[in-house]
Amino acid sequence: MLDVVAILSFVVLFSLSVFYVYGCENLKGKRK
Amino acid sequence: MSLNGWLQIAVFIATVLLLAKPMGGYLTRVFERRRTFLDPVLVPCERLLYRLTGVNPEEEMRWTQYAVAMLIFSAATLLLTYIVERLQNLLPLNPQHLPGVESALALNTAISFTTNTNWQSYVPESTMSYLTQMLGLATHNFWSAAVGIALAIAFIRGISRREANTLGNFWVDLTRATLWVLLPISTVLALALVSQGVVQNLRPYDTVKLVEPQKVTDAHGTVTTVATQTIAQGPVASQEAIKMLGTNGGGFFNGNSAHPFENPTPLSNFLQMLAIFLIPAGLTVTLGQMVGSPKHGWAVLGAMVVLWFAGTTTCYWAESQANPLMHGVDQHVSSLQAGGNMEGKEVRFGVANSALFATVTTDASCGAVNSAHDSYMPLGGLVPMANILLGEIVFGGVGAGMYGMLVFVVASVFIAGLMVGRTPEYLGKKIEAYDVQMSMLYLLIFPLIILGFSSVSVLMPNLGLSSLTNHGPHGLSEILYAYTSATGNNGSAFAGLSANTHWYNYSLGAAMFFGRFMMIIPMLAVAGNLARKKIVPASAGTFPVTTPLFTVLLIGVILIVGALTFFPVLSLGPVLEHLLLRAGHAF
Repeated sequence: MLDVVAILSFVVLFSLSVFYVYGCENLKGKRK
Repeated sequence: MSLNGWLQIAVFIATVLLLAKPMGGYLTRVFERRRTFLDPVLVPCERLLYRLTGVNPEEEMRWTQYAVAMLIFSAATLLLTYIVERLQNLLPLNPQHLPGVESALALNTAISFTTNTNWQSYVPESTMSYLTQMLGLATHNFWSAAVGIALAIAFIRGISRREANTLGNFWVDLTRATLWVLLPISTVLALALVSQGVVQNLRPYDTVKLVEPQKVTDAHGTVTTVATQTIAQGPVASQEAIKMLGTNGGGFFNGNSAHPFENPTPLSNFLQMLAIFLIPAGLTVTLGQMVGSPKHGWAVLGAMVVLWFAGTTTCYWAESQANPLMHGVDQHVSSLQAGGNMEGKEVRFGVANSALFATVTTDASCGAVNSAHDSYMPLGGLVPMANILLGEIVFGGVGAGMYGMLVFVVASVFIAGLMVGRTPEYLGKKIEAYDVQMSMLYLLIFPLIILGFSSVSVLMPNLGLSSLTNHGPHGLSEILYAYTSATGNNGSAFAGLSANTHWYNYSLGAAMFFGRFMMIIPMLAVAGNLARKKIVPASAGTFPVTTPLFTVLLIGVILIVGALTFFPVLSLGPVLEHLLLRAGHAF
């Protein structure tokens, strides 16, 4: 069970990181 | 302090500075894909790797693609380490028949090694099999260091390129950092360490009879006689070399670089410290060469040397002081003893090489230790903590130190621009609102994670205080150091905090993850934005970034940002402990 939680944590954290990448990129677009 | 100690420190920094230029020149050649003496052997290996993985080495990446490739690589390797840890009892090379690693600890360790932190909430020799050490951990020592170098090179390209949308190819930079830089140097270093007595084998642990059997009383009052001792073995030298060169710091043994099988002699100690600074020092020269302003690289290196010297001097001075509460104990320097505070230090290294090692390992994001930082005098222990709190940009971790320093450079140039009332420029690139926003995001995430998690740990006794063995300001320092070390991806620890609890495993894991990736991404955003810009010619109002004035401004910005952010908590921890020690209280 804890393995499932750990692997889900990986997936969620790295997915959020990808959103963060494009969030930083979009911030520039909105400021212009 | 002694002349002997200062001479050793002087020889160390002189060697680092002598090697900076050849190392930096070599790094420039590698990442500009110019010819090197290793090409006949490594180019075929590189081509084979690209063919097997389907990588097109000529394809350039925008900063977003570069960041996503880095995240995919980190996620895949993190998962591999987690699986190897969990299944080590079913896998080969486990002569001690160690069980699979518990889930929370495996998660913490996988994040720790993926992020170049190497925080260890476990005793390696009784927890990790040889296969886990080699396939799960040592490989990450290469990969996480190579990722750091690749990111630093990407940032430098962002500064040097004109009106470009791309920063290079992550897979190519990763491959070349591993094959051309880390593998050859760590191979040579591993052999040098073996020559000094560092072990390298796959044998089961030795069991030897004690000369004097010991009687031990357990918690229930039962007395047993211990007549044998287990001596751990393993492929240590190969892991030790990349542990230092890659500024990883995770020890093969619990004693880390204080263990005689990891660091047996003063020469092995010197080589290990040199390995920590070798690539970070070289990268300053690479910066100067790739942006076409060698003097700028030297100016950045100058700031690093000044901050290193201040830290080393303070730590060496603090540790050379006698502990005022040790009444009747001779703590003076003499031909028979190192003098000063020798608690937690190895006699073969003494005060000078312990203080120097502690400063070097926390200037960079290494985290290897050859002495117990927890046993340092309060102001001596403040130095390693402050080095990490400044962002580990004094030489810094391989790559991570360079891109961290460059974010401070952007902030310095911005402040200089404000002072003279002109649009700030950095090597001909105008620094605009977006660059400053991303730089500030980078600089603010760091204290937010450290102070946030530390506060929760202190305020929730069941979570953070239940595994703390010291109280008062020293206890606060132990908690603060743990989150500082995790967020800074350093990995060294104050002892006294048992971090193998669910709270600390998960929260420190989160701190390591956010401290790595949440800071890399805004840094790459700045690099990507800089690459797109035109170069404007220098004018009378341009602030030069090649002069001693720039070096002083850079040091000032680093110290002011660090001091203003962390002074309140440091005053409640090590500073208060120092004052109370003088008043006769110990914690």
